[in-house]
Amino acid sequence: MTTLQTEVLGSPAVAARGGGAYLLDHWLCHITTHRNRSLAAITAKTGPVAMAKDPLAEAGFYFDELNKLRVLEPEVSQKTSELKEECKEFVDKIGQFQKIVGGLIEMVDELAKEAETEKMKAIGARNLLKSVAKQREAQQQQLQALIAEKKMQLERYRIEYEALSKVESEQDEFIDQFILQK
Amino acid sequence: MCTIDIITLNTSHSELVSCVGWTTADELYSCSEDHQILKWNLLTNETSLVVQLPEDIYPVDLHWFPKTVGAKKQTQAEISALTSTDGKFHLVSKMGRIEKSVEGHKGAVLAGRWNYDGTALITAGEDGQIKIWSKSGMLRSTLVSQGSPVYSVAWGPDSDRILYTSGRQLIIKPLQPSAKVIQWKAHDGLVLKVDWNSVNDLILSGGEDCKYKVWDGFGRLLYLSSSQDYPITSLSWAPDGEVFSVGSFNTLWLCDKTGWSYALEKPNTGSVFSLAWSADGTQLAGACGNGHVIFAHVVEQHWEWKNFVITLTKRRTMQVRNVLNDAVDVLEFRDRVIKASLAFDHLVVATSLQCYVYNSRNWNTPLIFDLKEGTVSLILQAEKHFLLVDGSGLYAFSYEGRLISSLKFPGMRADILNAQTASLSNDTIAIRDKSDEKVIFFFDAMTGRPLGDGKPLTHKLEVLEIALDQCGPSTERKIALIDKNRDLYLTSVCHLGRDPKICKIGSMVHSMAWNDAANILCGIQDDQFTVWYYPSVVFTDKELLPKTIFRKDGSEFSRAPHILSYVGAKVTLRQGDGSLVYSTVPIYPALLHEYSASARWEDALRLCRFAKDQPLWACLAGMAVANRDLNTAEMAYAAIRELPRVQYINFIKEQPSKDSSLAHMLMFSGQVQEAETTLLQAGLIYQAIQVNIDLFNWNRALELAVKHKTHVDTVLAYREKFLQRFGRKETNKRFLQYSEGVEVDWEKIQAKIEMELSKEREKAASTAVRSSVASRH
Repeated sequence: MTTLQTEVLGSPAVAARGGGAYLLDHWLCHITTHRNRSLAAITAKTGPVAMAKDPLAEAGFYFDELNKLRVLEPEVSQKTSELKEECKEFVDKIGQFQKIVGGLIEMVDELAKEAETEKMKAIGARNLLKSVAKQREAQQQQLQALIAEKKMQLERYRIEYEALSKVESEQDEFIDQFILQK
Repeated sequence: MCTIDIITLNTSHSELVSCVGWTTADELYSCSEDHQILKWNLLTNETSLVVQLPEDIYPVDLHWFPKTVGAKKQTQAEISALTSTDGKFHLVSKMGRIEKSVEGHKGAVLAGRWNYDGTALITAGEDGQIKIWSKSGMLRSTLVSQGSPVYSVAWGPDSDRILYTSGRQLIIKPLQPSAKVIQWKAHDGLVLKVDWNSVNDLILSGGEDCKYKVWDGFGRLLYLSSSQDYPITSLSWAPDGEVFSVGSFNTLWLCDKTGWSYALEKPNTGSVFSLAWSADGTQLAGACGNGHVIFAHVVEQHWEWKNFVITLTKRRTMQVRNVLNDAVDVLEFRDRVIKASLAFDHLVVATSLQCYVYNSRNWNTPLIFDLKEGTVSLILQAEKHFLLVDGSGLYAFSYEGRLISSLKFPGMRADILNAQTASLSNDTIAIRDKSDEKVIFFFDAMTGRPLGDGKPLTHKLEVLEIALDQCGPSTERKIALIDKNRDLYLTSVCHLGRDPKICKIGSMVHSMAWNDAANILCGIQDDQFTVWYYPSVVFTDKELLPKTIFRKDGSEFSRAPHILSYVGAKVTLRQGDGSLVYSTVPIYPALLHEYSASARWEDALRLCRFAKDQPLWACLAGMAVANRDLNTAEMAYAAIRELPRVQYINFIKEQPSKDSSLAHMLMFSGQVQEAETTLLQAGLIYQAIQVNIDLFNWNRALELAVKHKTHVDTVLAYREKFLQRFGRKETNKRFLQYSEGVEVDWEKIQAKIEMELSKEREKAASTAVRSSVASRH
């Protein structure tokens, strides 16, 4: 029993590795050897001493609880069916496990994809940010150039204004002088 | 001031546009690296595909065959030279058919330019060669072979020289193999583009050092721009040479010919790879790196005259403002305005098809007449008429719109005339010759025929600028000219047979202008603002000239001011940095000119006494002498303390006869020859001899005496006296020869002289009596 249990415990790892069918064969083979061993043990026990006790058992026939004739020892039979149950359960569980793992993988894949797109988005945004700064710089440069141009124009107008003011004052002076002399 | 108004149409090329070229004023062809040639019609704003070029042709440069040559029109079908990166250039028709492809260079052909009369095509390649081709694409010669690519090439104004780039250098190479090559370092980076204007002979260059520069035809730097943000990728002169445009990344400038920029635009175009002006100089097209073609119009131009300010607000709209009452008139035109001029109470506007003449008193009803040719390149105005210059000739019109005359002369190139090389007055048109810049032609404005004997005026040096005075009778028309040495000369337009007397009246004169209402000349002399109140004084009393000049310190004007106009008492100047400045000139000289013209000497004297101004008195003296009014002249000379002159005037007054005093008036003006002729014509031989004796002109005196067989002894006597005084011996062979047979007796001579004078007096008295008798009858 202990070996069996260890086998059961160790099996999920194998199943997870995807070798389900192989494992089952291996395991059934185990069971057969086990039964052969126990039969040999029975024969040894029921040797010449136990011959008198139950001739049917000696012949290898047994009755179960429902008094049906069995070739297997009831105990063994019971264990076998138990084993069968357990195996079934195990296969179910493995199936379930596979499903869960499949889902998990899918989910991780999806996550990876999402992460990838987010990453791209982030890179894009970062680049955009950088280029905006550059754009602003270019815009600023353009505006600076325009401002410089306007400043030059302003300077020209200032000079023109000064020249005109001077002409005005000259003419005022002339008028004053003219009036005074008259 | 003016700016540019940029239009970008919706259609575009799918690739970079490499070159553009105008065929008419409203039709543009553009070539792009998408192998398409598009045609843009600006009247309908339509774009059509002309041709899809083969896949292996990547266009680089496009230049249309020049349209007009001198006065005659090209009859040949229009064709363009299209160069491409595969080393070929193609002659492409207007329909887009490739007439001929010629393998020209190894590597790309970077530039292809027709010369001004279309007789030759020049191509420059990446292989460093420059080749000249005939009109049909036959190789004439390989002009240049150098180690580095030639990025740009331009023809000189007379198509006898070329300008090309060589790395950072610019090279001017005459086509004649023996002539001298000019080469200079122009930029700190590769020079990418050059252009050379035929009207003003100025060179433009732009390069990778992000600067553009203006040079004169000898490679002297006239303007250097500040370093811009991006390399200069294109530049182009407007045909009239008044403005130019420069293109760079996302940038377009419009600049004055002196270099300062009128306007800067930042269109979103990418680099502007090529710029082209339409033939009338109003529209500009640019080939952009992003596949667009931009169009720009020059607007916001200003014209000012007295109290009117006119602005070109849109392409077809002008706004007239009367600053006295702030009244605004809007003038609308059917077509684009090409040129306009405002002066002498009239506004003349030339559009592409018509000419509008407005009187400043009435802005509502212009006089309109049709123009034969659309591209008016210059309008000059005088008081009575105006002159239109277009590609085919010069036409004088009256302000009533009547064609007065049209000018034609051999070798005329009307398309390259500008306000410096052509001048108009009420009766005369003066034009400086292009082929020989020393020569000035004069024409009668009324008939269009050459003036006088038809011989042009030839100066000893190349003439840069000419200007006719605007007032006075046509017989006294004067022309001022500035020559290559920047000397200012004045000469008379009408010279009857005699060689004209060209008098220098100033040096280092950079710019000049005549007043519109009086013959007063103003100029920028070195760094001073100078006004010649009465420049003609140089013909009557040369020494008086410096006294008639009014100077104003020019330091208030920054570098290189240029006189734009001199109207009334106001002078408008534009400084080197583009700002307008104004200066006033006293109004007295203009009044004095008026009085002198109407011979109101009393008023003139009163004005001078009132103004108490030495130059004014000097002017009056000159005017009075010129008009032979001796009393006024005497007073004016006395006022400026010219006592010898006063004495001489008194001496003239005492002359016994009219002829003598006339002769002495001529002597006064330094016209000895004329004075002598006058005396001889009047039969006053002795007086003529005496004049020569007084001038120590011994040989002539003796010659006259011997010729007329009289007063030989007088001459010899005076000569002896003269030699004695200086303690010298006679060395003149002729005098030695004549002194042998003649005896000198002073008493006899004195008696003879006395007799001559009394004879003259008697004669004068009798003519006076006769004339008085004649006047009584």
